[in-house]
Amino acid sequence: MQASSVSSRFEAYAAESDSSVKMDARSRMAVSLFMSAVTVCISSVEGQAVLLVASFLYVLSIRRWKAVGIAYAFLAVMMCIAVLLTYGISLLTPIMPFSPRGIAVPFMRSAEMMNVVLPLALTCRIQELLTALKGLRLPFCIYIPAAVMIRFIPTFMHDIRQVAETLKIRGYSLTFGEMFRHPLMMLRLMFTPLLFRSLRTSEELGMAAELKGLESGSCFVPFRTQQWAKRDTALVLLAVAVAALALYVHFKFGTVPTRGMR
Amino acid sequence: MIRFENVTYTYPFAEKPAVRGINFEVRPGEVVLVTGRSGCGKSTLMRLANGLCPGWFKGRLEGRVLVDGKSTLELPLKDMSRLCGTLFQDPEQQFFALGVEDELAFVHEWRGLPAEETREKVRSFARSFGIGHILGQSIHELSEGQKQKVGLASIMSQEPKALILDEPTANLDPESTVELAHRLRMLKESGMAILVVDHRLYWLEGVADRVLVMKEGEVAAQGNFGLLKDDGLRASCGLRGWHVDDARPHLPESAAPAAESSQPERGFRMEGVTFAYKGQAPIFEHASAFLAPGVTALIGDNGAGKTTLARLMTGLNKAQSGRFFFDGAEIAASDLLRRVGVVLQNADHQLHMKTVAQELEVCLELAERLEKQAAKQKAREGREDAAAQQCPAVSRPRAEQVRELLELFGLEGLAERHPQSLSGGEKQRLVIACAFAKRPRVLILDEPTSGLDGENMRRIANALRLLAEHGACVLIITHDLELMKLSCSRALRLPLTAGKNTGPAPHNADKE
Repeated sequence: MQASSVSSRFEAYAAESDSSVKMDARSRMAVSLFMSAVTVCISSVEGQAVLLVASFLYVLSIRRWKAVGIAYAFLAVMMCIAVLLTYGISLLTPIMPFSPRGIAVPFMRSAEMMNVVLPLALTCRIQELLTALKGLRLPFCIYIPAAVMIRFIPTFMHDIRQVAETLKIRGYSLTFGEMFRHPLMMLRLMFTPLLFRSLRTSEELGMAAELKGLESGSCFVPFRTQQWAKRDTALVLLAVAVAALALYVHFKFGTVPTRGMR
Repeated sequence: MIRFENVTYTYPFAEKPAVRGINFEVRPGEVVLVTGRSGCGKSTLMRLANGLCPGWFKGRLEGRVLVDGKSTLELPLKDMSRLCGTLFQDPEQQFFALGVEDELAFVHEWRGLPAEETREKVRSFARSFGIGHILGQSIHELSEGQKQKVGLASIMSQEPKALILDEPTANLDPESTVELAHRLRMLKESGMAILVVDHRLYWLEGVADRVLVMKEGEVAAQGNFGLLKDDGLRASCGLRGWHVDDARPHLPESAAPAAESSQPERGFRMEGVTFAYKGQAPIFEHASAFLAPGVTALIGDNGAGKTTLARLMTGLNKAQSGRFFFDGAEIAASDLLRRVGVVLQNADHQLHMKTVAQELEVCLELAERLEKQAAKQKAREGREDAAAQQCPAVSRPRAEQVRELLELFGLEGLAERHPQSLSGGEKQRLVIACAFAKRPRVLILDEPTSGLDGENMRRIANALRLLAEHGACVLIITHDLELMKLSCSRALRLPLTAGKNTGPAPHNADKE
């Protein structure tokens, strides 16, 4: 019942969020992959700024204000911690001076990746992702692990929830204070059941695959075809145009930081 | 079809063989049941028949296992799977897709069948298994019975000659169990050779042609179903009953004492509880229920809200409105979790420590901490805790309490084992022992005996009765008719009536 409710809420969440513009999962996947390649190639703040603005508009288009807000808040916290630590290190080791521009590029990259992955995660049903993966006709050794990973997202979410509930039932206090006071104990409490459950699941799935007669080198023929619409082509073309513009800005106006990560 | 010839098998790194000197045959159009105490070698027998031993698990095989006349050592697993289909206890663990239709098509897609043929197979097997209406659903939305049908349809669509079922009724309600028995009869008539490994026996009366009773890796007895009527054999091999009456219609309703009663109220009561999941219609509206000390069965159709009710009673889900009482005294919903013990279904999620003994010690320590916190709070509020007087904190050494719990649940020899290395039945007993460590006034258990053999099922039933005799209210959500018959003295039936539940609610036994 719990797995069911988690999954249905997860799916309903995805479905409802995508009521405005229904895109094919493959176009969202293509944009994510393309953006991850381009963002690595561009190391100037100016080029990254183009990608950041474009990807930010993209994430806003899904109209999941709350989810986007939470994700950005989390990123901001991470950024603050990193800035403080980097600043601290620069004080202790003068050969590594603190440079705001240097630290900006990795965070812009993180934000851009978040901006392209969120629409994929929040607007596509898991089954659509699986179907999209099938449609790509990937090799068996890539498809099966990827599909199983995606297939078990709702189960894994349910497992995490149930482990946390079990701890509450036992009487453990799951506060931040407790986590800071007893980090190893908390890790043991959370991860031991998850680790063993994952091991058991992977073993059972391995056996199930064997018993279903699946094996490497099998020829895959999908029984369902997906609908690739004009708007999907438009989205991919737009991503290519943004990437071209970012590369142009990078080479024409870009100043690569000499310190920090590039 | 499936033939064992003097088979002895030893797992890698094991000193002793898991099964020894096994000889039997499952012919086409025959159902053979394999049963026995947990750890007797039933699962190994099943793995030998489908080729997982030694194909997947490796190990040493002596003798021969033949499927359709071919040795399992000579056939690769992918070819074995076309001859012999296997359905696991939890079919969901076997699914590779999230949708029913995609799951049915999955194997055929990977075997390179043309799309139209795959579609036709999906359509025809969905029709013959009566699952056409759920083709568009997610596997997570299915009941256990539906999952099993999907798993079975997926296997049958590969047209195997033999079928192996591993504890197929462990998660099924009695109605789905009857349906499964009917389907096995049909498959048997179509010439399929069927090997069933199960603890529950009653449902195979009139279906199984032969029974193999295993004991310590060997076949202890072999014969027709009538063999199971031997009480001595069942007791010595830890078997369940061969015939089980459905106790559900006969259990009296769990009702609160009448308002005019002069006796003080004893037990747990919820009143006027309303609850709905976000964006959905209410599951309970001004519902009331009462649990008297003793063991109560929670009965209701699939989706009636049994688990939700249990979660509301433990405070894991927060009711939109409603009040809760212990022995007539109101307690806050936020306080419920401290007073109510609950055992959830999946034991894997509930074990964290390095040894079985440590797991129990930690539970006892946490329980004592909770009791102290409660006592301090009461002292601050200047209130006297009636419950604390009835269940005073136990001052005996913790090691002694651990030993008692280990003995009660038959885990004495496993005290130093890692909890996650135990078998499914042993884990289940350990998590119930952990719940007992909390000394709860109310204990709720969700399917505590699914997959347990007769001996351990009776052990759990005894432990629950013992707890109830000490004044605890025990609520069991179960499909296990034997457990219900052995331990439950009354039933709480869903849907709950609105208002104060002081008398028998309308009976829905017909629907059960």
